Amino acid sequence: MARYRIDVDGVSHARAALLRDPLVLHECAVGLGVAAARAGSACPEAPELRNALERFGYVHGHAVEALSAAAEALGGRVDIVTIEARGVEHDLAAAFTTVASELT
Amino acid sequence: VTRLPAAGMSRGAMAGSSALPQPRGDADQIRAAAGALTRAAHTAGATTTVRGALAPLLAQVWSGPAADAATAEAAELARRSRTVLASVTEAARALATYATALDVARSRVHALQQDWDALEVDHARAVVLVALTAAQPTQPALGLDHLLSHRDAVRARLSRAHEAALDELRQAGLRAARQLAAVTEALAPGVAARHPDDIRTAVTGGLALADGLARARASRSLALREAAYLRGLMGPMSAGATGGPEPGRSPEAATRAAVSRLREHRGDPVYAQALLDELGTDGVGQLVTELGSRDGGVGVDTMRALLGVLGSIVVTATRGSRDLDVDEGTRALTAGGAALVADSLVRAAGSTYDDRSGHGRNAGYWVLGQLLVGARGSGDRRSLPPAVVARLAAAASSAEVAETRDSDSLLRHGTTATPNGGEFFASWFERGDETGDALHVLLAEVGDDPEEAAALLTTPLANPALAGPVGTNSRGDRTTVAEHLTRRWITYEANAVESHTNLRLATNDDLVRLVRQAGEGAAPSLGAAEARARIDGELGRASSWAHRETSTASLYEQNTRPVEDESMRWSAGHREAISSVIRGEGPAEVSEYARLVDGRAVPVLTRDELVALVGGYATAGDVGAHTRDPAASYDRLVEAELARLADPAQRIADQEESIRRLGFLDAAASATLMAQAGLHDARSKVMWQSIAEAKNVVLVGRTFVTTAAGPGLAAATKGLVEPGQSLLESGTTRDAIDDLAIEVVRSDLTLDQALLNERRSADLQARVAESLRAAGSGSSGREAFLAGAAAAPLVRTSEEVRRARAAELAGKVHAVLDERAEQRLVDGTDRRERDVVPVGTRG
Repeated sequence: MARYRIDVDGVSHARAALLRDPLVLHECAVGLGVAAARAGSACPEAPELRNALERFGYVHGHAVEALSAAAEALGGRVDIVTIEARGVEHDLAAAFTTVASELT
Repeated sequence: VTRLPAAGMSRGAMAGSSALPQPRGDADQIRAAAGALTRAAHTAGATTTVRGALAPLLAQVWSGPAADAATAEAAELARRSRTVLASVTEAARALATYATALDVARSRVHALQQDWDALEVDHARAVVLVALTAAQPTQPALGLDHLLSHRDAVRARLSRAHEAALDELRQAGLRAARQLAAVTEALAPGVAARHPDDIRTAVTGGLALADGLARARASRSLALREAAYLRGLMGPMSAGATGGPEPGRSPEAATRAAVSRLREHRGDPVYAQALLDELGTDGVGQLVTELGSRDGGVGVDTMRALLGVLGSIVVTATRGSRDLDVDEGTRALTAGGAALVADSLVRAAGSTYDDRSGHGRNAGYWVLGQLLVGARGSGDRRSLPPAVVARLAAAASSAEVAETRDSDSLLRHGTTATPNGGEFFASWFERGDETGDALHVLLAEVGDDPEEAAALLTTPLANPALAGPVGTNSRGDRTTVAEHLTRRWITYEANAVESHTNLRLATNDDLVRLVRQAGEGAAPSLGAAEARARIDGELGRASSWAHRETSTASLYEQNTRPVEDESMRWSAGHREAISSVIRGEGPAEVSEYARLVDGRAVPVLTRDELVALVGGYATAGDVGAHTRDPAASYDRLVEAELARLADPAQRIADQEESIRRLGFLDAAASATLMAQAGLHDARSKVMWQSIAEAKNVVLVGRTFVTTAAGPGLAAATKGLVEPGQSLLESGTTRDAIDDLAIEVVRSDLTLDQALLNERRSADLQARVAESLRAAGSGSSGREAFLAGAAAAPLVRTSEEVRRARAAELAGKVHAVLDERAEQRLVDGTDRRERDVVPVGTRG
């Protein structure tokens, strides 16, 4: 009958699994940029490589940062789902409690 | 730089390290960087997001369309993440290869340097040896030349080898650069991808949920900054509020900067909603009021630009994501946000905002109107959602009515600003009567959908303060927008003491347009029929009120007559409503304004509403002292019914129905015209009574003066007693003779009107009979006509009016006689009292 099925505990588990991803990816993005810069400074004889490294560091740093934001957004969506589902459960429980107390 | 030869070298010798320099660069550092890249890629690759572990996990615990979308997106995000990280690994490999090439190059150069140094030493030795073994002083030169050419040849070979090593390293660098450029280009193609947003689009673009929410977050944080800036605009510019304009910047410049900042993001619903949420719709009202005040320091053009961009933001916020292709999550979030903004706008419509000086005030609904005009002026053609327009129109209507009842005499039609000469509404824009009339501006937002128009017209005014007649219609129900618009000129006039005889509101045309539009739907619309019923009910009420006096009658003609003309077009609905009343089938309950009859939605009116409506049709603007025939609108209604009657295709039952309706129309018009004549007679009577009072006061005054000059002041004062007593006891100085005279001279328009009504009624009945005769019927239709008339209020005949007048006159004559008799009695008593001589006083 229900159009949706949500295992709230399971979703919470999924959320927990996602919890650290944004931070880890963000740190990777920062580390990636630093590494590219260090490599660039270590090859003064290769100006083309230095330029390529600079661009690589910029683009890939932001790219991994975007992955971090996306992971956070996905986690946020799962959060919303969990909160909504818990809200529905709470409302239903409250409603049943009211009905039960009226019947007894 | 001149370098000295090393020890053991001959003159002209050079150290290998100088002749064949090492390529610069730190292979270890490059290798370390490559390792760092590899570790970063590895760490990222181990996350749940990149491993792709989330998608199957979500699929296990969550189902439904939203879950499907999230799961699919999680899988796609993992795939794209791996692509990104694979390119990082590839870059690390390229760097490592280059580091190796650098190492190789350095080793080779080092070897070459050693060869060079060895050559130099060998050469020096050989030179010495040649010198020692030479027999003749001239011989060594030959051997030395040979040695030098040998050294040069070897040097050249070593230099070429050195150059080749360096070139190989350069090639390795170029290869590494190309590899890095390739993976970068594959990820973010083109030179355009220089902005982080472009890179984000390249990586997570199309991932509706992730990208949408990431964008939403960015928009929200930007909106918070802009809200802080706008709040700073409201305070003194020197204050330098956090996030506000720079201290000392002129309001004009700061506002222009704000306009330019806001304009960039006005189409972004998340941004618009976050801005309105942070600033508050009240904050927008306050901002417009502050900057628009006399001391605001902002020019007209800048103010218009600000109103335009804020108006666009309001439109965007209320529309949510309906114009955009966004993910389901963002759509849901902005839909919720739009509902909150709408609630907030409705609440703000009834608020008032004071400027800092306390001299200027604007109502929320007026500010809203200005924002919308600004938005349209700036080229924004996106309409507000229909439900929001309906609620805002109702809120603006409520606020308008409430304004007529508050104690603020300066706030008129939404603002304390003064309209331009000859205009009725104040505005920041041209054509104040259109742009300053917030309700008109809102009504212009209504699209072409008939249901939309009907829903707006039947939206009730929501202000709980509007209890009593101003907030209810003729049935005591809450007034709707349709009813408010019908009588809006009354509201306008009630806002101030002066009257505007040349007032013509743009809203009248709006109402006609909306009512017409509401009735154009393919399916029968109960909403449209209800709107008509409500308008009809209010037309009758407004007409009977307006036609009591010349100025209001003229206002009615200019403002309500166009609506009345439109109402005439609903004759089919009226026929059904009249027939229902004649059959005694009025509204089943107070709130029934429409019902379905034979698949058509028809308005349902009470008898009194119908009588008042027909009376409105029958009444023209002139309220002079003369009898009158019904006005043209009524004639059109009657002629249409007669035409139906004459239609040979009509069934007998339908013919009788038509005749009954004619009877009702005739009686209803007569009742209204009689009531107006009676009103005129009553006014005439009051006028004569006032004259009589004035005459009596003049007479008393003259008598006082004459008596005071003759018999003396005491006698004169005594003469004041009787009129004074009369005034105290009955509130008038008039006596019975005065009232009799008044009764004789006052107008008797009622009788004349009754006679005219009877002649008109007889003519109508004759035309009915003639029609029936022409149709071959033996009936005169009189019975049906009278049955219809009986459903209307009873109208007095001329004979009844005459008798009533005669009875009134007779009453006045009797009163005179009674007063005379009483006077004689009093006079006799006085005489007898005068004739009695007190004991002891007679001679």
